[in-house]
This record gives sequence, C-alpha cells and structure tokens, in this order.
Amino acid sequence: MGFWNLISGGRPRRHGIAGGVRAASHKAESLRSALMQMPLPKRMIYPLQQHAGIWLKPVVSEGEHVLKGQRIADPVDNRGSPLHSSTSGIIVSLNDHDNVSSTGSSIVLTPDGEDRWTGLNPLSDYRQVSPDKVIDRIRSAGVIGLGGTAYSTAEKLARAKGRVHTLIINAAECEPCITADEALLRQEAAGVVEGGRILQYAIQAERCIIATQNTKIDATSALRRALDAIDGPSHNIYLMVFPEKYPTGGERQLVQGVTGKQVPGGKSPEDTGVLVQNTGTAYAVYRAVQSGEPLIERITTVTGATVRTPKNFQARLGTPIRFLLELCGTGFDRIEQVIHGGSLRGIVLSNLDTPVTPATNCLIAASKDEFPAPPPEQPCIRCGLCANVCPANLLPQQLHWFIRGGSLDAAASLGLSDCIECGACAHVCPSHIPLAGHFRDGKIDLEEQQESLERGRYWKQRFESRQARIASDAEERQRNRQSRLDKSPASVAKVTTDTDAVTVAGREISRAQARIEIAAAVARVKKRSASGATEPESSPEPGDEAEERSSGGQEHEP
Amino acid sequence: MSLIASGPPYQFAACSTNRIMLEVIFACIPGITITTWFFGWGTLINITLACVMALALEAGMLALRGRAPVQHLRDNSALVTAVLLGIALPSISAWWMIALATVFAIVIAKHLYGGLGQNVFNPAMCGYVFLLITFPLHMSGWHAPGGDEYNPLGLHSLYLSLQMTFPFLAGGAESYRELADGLAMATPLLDPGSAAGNAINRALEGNLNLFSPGAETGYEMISMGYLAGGLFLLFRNIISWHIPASILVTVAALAVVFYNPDDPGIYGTPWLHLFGTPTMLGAFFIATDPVSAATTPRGKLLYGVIIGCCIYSIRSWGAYPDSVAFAILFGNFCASFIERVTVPTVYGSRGRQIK
Amino acid sequence: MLPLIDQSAFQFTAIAIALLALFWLCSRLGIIARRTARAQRIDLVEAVDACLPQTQCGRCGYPGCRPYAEAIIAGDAINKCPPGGDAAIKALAGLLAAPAQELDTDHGRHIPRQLARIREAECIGCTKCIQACPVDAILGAGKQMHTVIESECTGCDLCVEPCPVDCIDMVKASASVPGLCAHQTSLVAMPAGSRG
Repeated sequence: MGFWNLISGGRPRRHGIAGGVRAASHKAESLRSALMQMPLPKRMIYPLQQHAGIWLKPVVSEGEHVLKGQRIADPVDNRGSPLHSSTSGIIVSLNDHDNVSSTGSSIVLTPDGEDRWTGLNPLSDYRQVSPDKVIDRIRSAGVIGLGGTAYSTAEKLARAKGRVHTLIINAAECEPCITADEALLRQEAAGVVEGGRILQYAIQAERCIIATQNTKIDATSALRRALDAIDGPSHNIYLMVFPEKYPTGGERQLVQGVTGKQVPGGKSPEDTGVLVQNTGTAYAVYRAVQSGEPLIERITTVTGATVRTPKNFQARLGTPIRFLLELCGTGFDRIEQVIHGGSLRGIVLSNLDTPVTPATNCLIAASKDEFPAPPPEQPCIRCGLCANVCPANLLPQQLHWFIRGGSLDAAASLGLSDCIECGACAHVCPSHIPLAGHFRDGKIDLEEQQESLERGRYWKQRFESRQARIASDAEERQRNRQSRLDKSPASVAKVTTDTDAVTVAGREISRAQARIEIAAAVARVKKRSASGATEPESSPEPGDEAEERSSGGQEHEP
Repeated sequence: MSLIASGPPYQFAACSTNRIMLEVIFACIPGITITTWFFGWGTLINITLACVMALALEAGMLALRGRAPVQHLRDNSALVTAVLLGIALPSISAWWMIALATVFAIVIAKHLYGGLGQNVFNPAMCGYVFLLITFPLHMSGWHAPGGDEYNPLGLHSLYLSLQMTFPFLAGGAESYRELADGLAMATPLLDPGSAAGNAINRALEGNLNLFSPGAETGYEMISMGYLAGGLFLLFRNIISWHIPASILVTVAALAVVFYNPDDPGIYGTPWLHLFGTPTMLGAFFIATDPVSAATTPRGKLLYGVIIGCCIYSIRSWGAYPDSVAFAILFGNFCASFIERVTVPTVYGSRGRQIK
Repeated sequence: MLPLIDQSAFQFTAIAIALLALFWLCSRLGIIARRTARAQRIDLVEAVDACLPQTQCGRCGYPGCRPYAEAIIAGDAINKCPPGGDAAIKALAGLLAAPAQELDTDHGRHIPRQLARIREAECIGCTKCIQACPVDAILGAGKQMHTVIESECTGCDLCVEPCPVDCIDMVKASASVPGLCAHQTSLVAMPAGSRG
C-alpha cells in the first residue's frame, strides 16, 4: 500500500470486481444525437406513491394554477420527498385511478404552455453554510436517488453524515441500452463534478471518487477536463476508470471496486464507510444548490429497434411515456414490448400512459427480433458459466438445483438471499434457464417461508399464553370457590374418588357420614325449590353448581 | 401491439448447449485426423458407428421417458459421448463392442440416472470401462501404426478396417482373430508399465522421423492434436483452465518425482506420461465434462489433482492397460464431495459460516 | 531430467504431501458430518411442532398444534394438517424420515392463508367468538361490537361456527409482491417468473 501511494501520488487504487459479463451494449444508437430538451405534453401525471409504501399528500387543490417548480405534494413521513410541478399549468384532478394504478392515486396537471418558473432562491456559496443546511436545501428541493432506488437523497445523506469516508459518484452505467448518465456527462461534466463536491461537503467525506467505465471515452475525457478545471490545487476528488463489465455499476460492486471491501449481506454501503450516489443525483444536487431548482426532470434514454431516432431527453417528471416515444418517431405497430430500464434488469410496461418517474432511466421500445424470447429451456449441464459471471460469487447452478428441488433451506445456506438479481447468470446460460427468475421467485418464497415461521412462532406464543391464562383463571376460580366453601362448610362435599375417606371442606370424615350429610343437603335443596324460594342462599357460578351436582350424583351411586 | 409479459433479462448471450457440444466435437477434429493419419480408418469407423447408435438410443430413451426427442436430440450431447467413445475404443473393435459400449453409455450411464445433466459419471468413460472389464482381451489390441507393407490411408487399409468392424465380411470369427493378430498392437490408452508399454518406450528412445505416416511416435502427434483442440476450447471459454492444468501439472510432477534416470523403463519419462499417453485427451476433453466434474473454482483444482494422482498411480502400479478412464470415473465419484468442501465465499459473507 | 536430491527423499515427500491432503479432506468431511449430527440432536416434539403452521385450528383432531406434534411422535399420521398442506407434510416427512403422503382430506383441504373478518354492523356482541379464538385475536366486550386484529389472526376459522348471527367471513389474506413498488406492480406485467 505504501509503495502504491509512492508511485501513484496518493491517488486511490482500483480493485478487482468479482464476476461480471460483457454483454452487447447497444449504447451507440442513442448517443448519436445530442441530449434534447422536450416540448410540453398535453398533460402531466404525478403519482402520489413515491416508492413502495412511501406516500405523498397533495398540498394543492383541483383547479388551482401552479407554477413550474412549485411544491404540489408533501411526504407523509420523512422517508419521502416533496414533489414539485415540472411545468406551469392547472391541476385538473387529484385522483385518476384509470391512468396510474388501481392502488395508487395521482395529481394530473394540464400545462398552460407558458412554462413559467416560480421564484427560486439559490444558495450561492454553499461553503458558507453548515453541511446540515445544505442537506436541508437538498431535502426541500425534493431530490431523490435517480439510480432506480428512488430513496430520499437528503435522508440518505443525513444518515451517512459523519459515518462515511468515501463518496462514490456512480458514472459506471453498465447495463446495455442505457446512456442517460453518459449523455449527461458529455454535456454537463462540470455540473456533476460540482454536485459531487457539494455532496462531499454535505457528508464531510474525506474523498470523492467518480467511477466510470473505459468504454465511455467522451464522458471520461469531459470528466477529466472538469476535474482539471477545479480551482485550488488540493482537492480530494478523483476519477477511477473501470474496465467494461456488467454489473460494475451495482452499488455493492462499486464499493468492492473502489475500496476493495465487501458490503456485508443485509447491510448498506454506509455501514462500511462508503456512500454511493448516482451521476444524475449529483447533477440534481448541483442544480438544487447552485440555482435553487427542485428536481423536476431527469435524463431518460429512449431507444430500441422500433424507435427511428434513439436519443436522450431531459424528460420532465410526469410526462406520459407514450409522448416520449412519439417524439422519437416510434413505429408503434412494430413494438413487441416496452422495457422500463435496461435490457438485463428492466421491467415490461403494460401501460404506455404511465409517467416518467425518477426511476425512468431508459425506455426500450423493442421490436420482435430485437429481444426474442429465449429458446425452450434445456437441462442444466453445470457448465459453470453462471458461476463465472456471478458478481456475488454464488453458485447459480447449485442454487437452481436446490430451488427446483424445493430445498429452499439448502439454497439459503448457499447464499440465495445475497443474490442481487442482476440477471448475468440468465444472460449467459447456454441452456436458457431463466435463473434470475428462479432466484427472484426463490427469494420471495424464502421470505414468505421465514415470515410464516415467524408468524407461527408468534401464534404459538399467543396460544400458549392464552392456555396459561385459561389455566390460571380456572385455578383462581377454584381458589375462590374453596374460600367460599370454607365459609359455609356443610353445604357442599368434595369427593376424592380414589380413597374411602372423603374430604368435606378440609375436614376428613367417613364415607357413611358424608352420605348422610349429602342426603341432608339434597333434601334441603329440594325442600327449598318446592317451596318456591327464588333467592339462592349463596349463588355459586354455574359451572360450580354443575360440578357439585355431578359429584353428588357420583356419591349417590354406590 | 402486443405487450408480452416476460421477466428480465431480455437480452441473451449467443451461447447454447447445442453449440458448446458442437464445438467440443469440432475441437476433437485435429486429434481424430492425426489418429487416422497414423492408424488408418478404424477410429473414423468407430465414431460413425457410435454416432448412429447413440442417436438412435438417445431418441428411444427420450421417447420412453416421455420427452420430445427432436428438441432434446438437438442438444448434441449424445454425439459428444459417441465421438469420445469412438476415439477411446480400439480401432479394431468389432461392431458389437461399439454397440455394447454405446448402450451402456447412453442407456445406463446417462438416461437411467435421469438424462443430460443428471449423470454422476461420464457416459463415454462408463461405456469404455464396461468393455475394459468385460472384454479385456479385445480391448488391449490396436492397429499397429502402419508398416512398410501397407499405407494406413489406402483402400486396402479401409477394407481391412471394415473387416475388423464387421467380422462377417471376412468370413467369420476365425479370420477376424487372424486379422487382429496380424495388425494388433497396444491401445493408445496404454500403460507404459505393461509389456506393450515398454515396446513404446523403446520406440521412443530410437531415432524417429516425426512426420512420416507410420512412425511409432504417432501417439505424440495425436496428443499434440488433442492439446491443440483443448487450447481451442480454452480460448472459446468452453472449458476453464483449472481442470486440465491441475491434471497435467499433477501428472508431470509425479512423473518427475518418480522418474528413475538409471532405468526410465520402470515408470517412464514425464514426457511419455504427458504426450505418449492419452493424458491430453483425458485432461482436456473427458475430465472437463461439466456434468460429472466439480464446478467450484477451487473444487476444479482439487478434482484435477485427484484425477492426476489416479492417472499416475493406476498407470504405474495398476494392472489395467488404461488409467485415464478409471481415474476420471474416480474423480466423478469424488466431485460432489469436493463441491461440498470448496464452496466459494459469497460476496459480503466473509467470515460467515456456510453450512 | 536429473533429480536434484536423492530420489527416495523426493518420493517420500510426495507421499507425505498426498497423505496430508487426504487428511485435510477427511477432516473437512468430518467437520461437516459432526455439524450435521449436532443439528439432529434436538427435541423431537419441538422439531415436529416447528413444522406445523401453528394456526391452532384443531382440524387434526387435537386441541392445538403441539398436542398434534406429540401425537405424531406417538405414531399418528403426518398428513392431518390442512393449513400446513403439502409443505408441512414434506417437512415432517423429511424430519421423521417417513414417506410423504397426500393430505388426508377428511380433515379439510389446504387453502391459502385466510383471515377472519367480522361484519361489524351485524355483530351483536355475544363474545362467543372471543372465547373460541385460540390466539386472542378478537377484541370486544359483552354487548359491544367485536373486531378481528388482522395481524394476530391465524385464519383457523374456529370463530365462524359459534357466531349466532353468522357475521364472520373468512377472507383471503392480501398478498403483496415484494421487490416492486406498489405503483409498478399495477403498471407492469408481473415478471413471468418461472413457476412451474
């Protein structure tokens, strides 16, 4: 290490990343045209659910006119971020179940075409204010992670502050088809670098590393120029260029590549002293601090064989996806599927009227031959290609074996829950086994199994405590009865059936004597009921009465 | 527009089991060509016969097991088994030997275990060892590598080879034995400790012209052929370097350790162990059969070391004329145990106990 | 290829290394075997009980899961638990090295997890269901409306029968799709996994 520092002048050193695959990148198509502003669509849709379980509540009303950048919804709790209008216009509805989802609601806005900004207040020199103030500014600008997780950036920063020594700006966009970060870097590398410095200041990290890939030649040289242009000789912001491999841009993989450390399963990178932020997020932070603009747009790649001119858009959040595809001259009749995300991890959209969200990094309008369905599945021949490419160092062939055989426990002990579902295994499998799908299902099943085990343990505990309570109640009743009996000793007899001796209210008497006493008691009761006396002498609980009767009956039999 | 539903990933590498199998067969071509060059038509006839029978048996077994024969035949795995079997069997094998070996390989060693991907042992080696145990005499003869009296690639040689394979053409079993005695020699899957092996040893010490057909050094050339094929497979990323490298290094190391400079005839030279024997064929083509091999990186190394030790031990101290087949079957047997003790450390679980 | 040192020393070393390697392998296998053996030394009733779903529904004919577990140890059949279904039978068969049987449908059929729900407008507050619930999942008091605490309900349906006004329904427990945002779940066709 010391030797390395000597020859590298203190520059951080690149480490190896496990596994990985070189897939056909399909990136050149969308990089041919420059980054483009987009015209206004006829309406905007803002979903009120930001992420699984994170809800927003509108702060505007129907019919209200809002300006571009105006806050239109607030988070319910601190996991969410405020939502801002991406253009000026009129709120037409606050709930539109048809277009967004049956479970979620949304704000729908009709743009007025003026695109008029609300008043912005930039933070001209962020170094003059405290890091907490910077984080507050990022929070109020509603910046959320643009890498796909959509968590509140400010929240992440607040949690990372003081715990993190290394900030990684993730510019290693490795999944095929996606070029959003690369297009941004070509044009706005200086802004991204400045965003990185702001983030570094906000969390007080020792160093900031911008990680990119060697195939992004223009982006890398733009970053180099931007880094050289930084004022002052001593800054701790470095560029690290990784060889092209998928999934280098995975959070955990980058941590391994930059620091050589691994993030333990179930922990986040912050726990190992590293914070990873996406390129787009860094740029959004720069805009939020430098010019006060809230997060209202992101770069989205529109590509695919049915798209006439694939390109990158500065897409306003809330734009219907269909509108973006129309702008690129998409042949809608030839579309086989529209993939939201890249071709290895994306999901197929079932409705093109869904809006662009902060997670929409790429849209692939694929034709039939572009991503044909894989040929029929063949048996696994254990060739091990999947194990070679697995970035988590798993043995997919073994996991597949156990999941197919229903041995989830065995799969779990081989690390099924450490699978990051990158899909590299399924990509290379020569037998076309949908390994990634199996593992996704297996993980869900495993979670369900663990949940039901936990539920079972909880129910068992509830059941046992109920049983214990019933038992103690019965015992207490018994005790109460006993004390009552002590007060009126001659009224009832309790029989211990095994012995000849009979216990009546604690005192031992002979069977014969007991019989006489019981007969007397029965006669008394009969006489009373015959005389029609309604009020019982000491009304015991019904159960006790029944018990008395049955024990009395037993006594009469012999 | 139809929005079909499918899970990620949507993009696949151009790689398929069918292609992998075809490339393995393709990589055998140099070895087979050189074998034919030195020993005549026998091996080619073996391979052709074995392929026809293997395809028929595979189709039959698939139909019996209720699988779609056409789709599953396309994986070409039966062809690979047949080609390896054809290479391993003596070139003077009769048709019924080839048939027995193929039946044992395809029906018993492969489909009774559950078909492709489920077989514990390499089917080709099972078929070969089955014959080795049941017909040891027939298995220890091989075409002499040519002579002055005939050209191994000539028509006469083809006629003789066909007579070997189909004894009824030559008019019955007796003339078959005659032919065999006239042409037979040790199999290339030989043991240098045996009498035939010593003959090879002596031949190797002589001054030989490497490139003339019929030279006794044919074995070395064949090994070079399989080495070339194996390097092609490595280059194509169809096999990994772990298994061949560890087998070859182990065999070479043991051969160096036990080499006796005073009497090289006892254990043979390291060169003989690597190139004068079928070690190359075994290391690159048979031990690397992924179905029956260990699959973890460290496991592959251990698997190769075990096979290498077995090859050397059986060859030097065993009674059988062949060591590679037994060594690989023993390696197959160990593979699942090896995998259990060599599970790689999962990302982020360093120090966590893997059960 | 001349040996640098004495031949026999060389050979001796090789044999020693081979033996050491063998020893290492055997010891690793030994560790695994010991660990497996330790895992098996557990309370059998506890282990059987852990395979059962703990719904405490009593459909097996025993008053709760643990009594059934004890009965299984005493020799009763392992296929009498409808809520556990095939999964429980498989787990029990694996644990007890018994053949896995079909579910005995005399005790009911396996249905996915359910929850009891009280139609609260119709509830007369008789407390009968409260007494029937094996896990105290129903909240209420005499002459007051009752309600089921969903997170506690095992779906045993023991409360349905005692209700005098039949105001308890068994509804399917809602399933969530982990990994996708709720809004994505509805937008997006389900990833065609690979089930089946």
